[in-house]
Amino acid sequence: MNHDGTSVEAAVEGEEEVTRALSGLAGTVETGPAPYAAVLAGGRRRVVRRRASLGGALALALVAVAGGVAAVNGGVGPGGPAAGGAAVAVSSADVSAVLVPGAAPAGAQGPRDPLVPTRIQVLTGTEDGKPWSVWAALWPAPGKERIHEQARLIWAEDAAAGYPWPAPTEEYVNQYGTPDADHVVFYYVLDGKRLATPAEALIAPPGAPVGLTYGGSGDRFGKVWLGRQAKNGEADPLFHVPKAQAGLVQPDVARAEVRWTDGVTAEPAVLALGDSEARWIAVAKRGIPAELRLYAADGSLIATDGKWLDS
Amino acid sequence: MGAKKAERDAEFNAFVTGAWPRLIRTAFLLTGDRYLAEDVVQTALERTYAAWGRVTRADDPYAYVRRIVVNEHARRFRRRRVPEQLVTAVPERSGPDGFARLDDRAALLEALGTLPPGQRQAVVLRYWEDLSETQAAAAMGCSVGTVKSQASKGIAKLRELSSLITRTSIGDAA
Repeated sequence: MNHDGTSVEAAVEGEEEVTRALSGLAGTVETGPAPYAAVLAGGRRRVVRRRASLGGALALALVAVAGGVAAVNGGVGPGGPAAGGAAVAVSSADVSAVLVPGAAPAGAQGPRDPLVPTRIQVLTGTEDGKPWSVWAALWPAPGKERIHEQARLIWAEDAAAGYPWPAPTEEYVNQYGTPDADHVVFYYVLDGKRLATPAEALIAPPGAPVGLTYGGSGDRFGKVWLGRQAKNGEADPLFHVPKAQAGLVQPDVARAEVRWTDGVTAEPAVLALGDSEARWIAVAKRGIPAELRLYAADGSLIATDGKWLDS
Repeated sequence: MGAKKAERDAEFNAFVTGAWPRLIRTAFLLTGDRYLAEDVVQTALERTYAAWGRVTRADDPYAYVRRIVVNEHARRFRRRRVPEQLVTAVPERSGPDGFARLDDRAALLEALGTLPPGQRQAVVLRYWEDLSETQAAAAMGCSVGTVKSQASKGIAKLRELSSLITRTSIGDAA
């Protein structure tokens, strides 16, 4: 019997068996909980994009009606050209997004929505044959009005990944939250699944001096430990990914170099995240000391830190 | 306005929670891969959220979203050109007593993988989603005649694996 109970259709030989086989196969699929927060964030992003494009189309139509020709300064509008490939906004489930080196000029991506994070992949690798990656999600400063809503979304994403903490209450968020800071959440994805227990950083929003919003002056050259919080030994998936470190650097940093004491070197990409002016680097740890060197675009050495990878 | 938005989100939340398992299973049968299925369904639900007003005005919101899932699968299939590991023939089976449950599952997935996307969609919609030919045609955006022929060809191909189809004891439907 079909759902709509309409036309009796000619029976096809074997269809009952196929129905049973498909049903059996589908029944073996573990569906897990719906990633509601990620769906919601993605849906809102689509709404924002659609409104932005509608606004753009409307503006173009108005220009056309006025008989104007938009050939101002080579066609570049007041917001400047879009940053080619500089920002990526992807869903939690999407682990195939591109690495994003380079800069994303502030203001090039439309209004900030504190409920719609921008994500980039900051590190990737393979461990025991399984691909892993580290992602950073930038949640723009929410202000007092939306801080609870944002905190709930951030919590929901992590809860869906298995983090057992209770949802943040409005009272708690109002008391301890930082409404005027951008919130950057780092998390691992192992073999296509997001792992619980993220690392987080609160950073200054665009327009303010770049840096972490807590601690002392050293936080203009901050670091975030990743993957060290595995609580349940080997049972915790976080135990099976390499420990790593992400670092906030100033926007004048063009190149970073890590030199381990055994002579191995690495050049982590300097990454931009959304419209934030902060830049990020990330390195997988190797269990031995290393020195970090930061260079400007002209090749001059800006800073060194011999303890940056210590933790 | 805030209250209205919260109400809309709550409504959407309830829908997502309720529809997720079945949509995942449908997408899994279409894609043959659980993670890909999750990705397809998540994308479809994001689109759904952006059109939630229209979806709730539809007679059957689930059918509306299912169509998005089918379209999303078709779109990805077209874009990739090289589809999900199509094989020209399903490997020979070892014998009627040699099938473990997981073998059956793998064999059926592989068999589904041999079907072109249209046949696969028709088979899944007709025999897993239990849609009529008319409903399947609406979901696929094609004519009833196309559904008939695609489903029939799909079934015939699957039936070539007679041992697989006649045994069909893969967990026997949860």
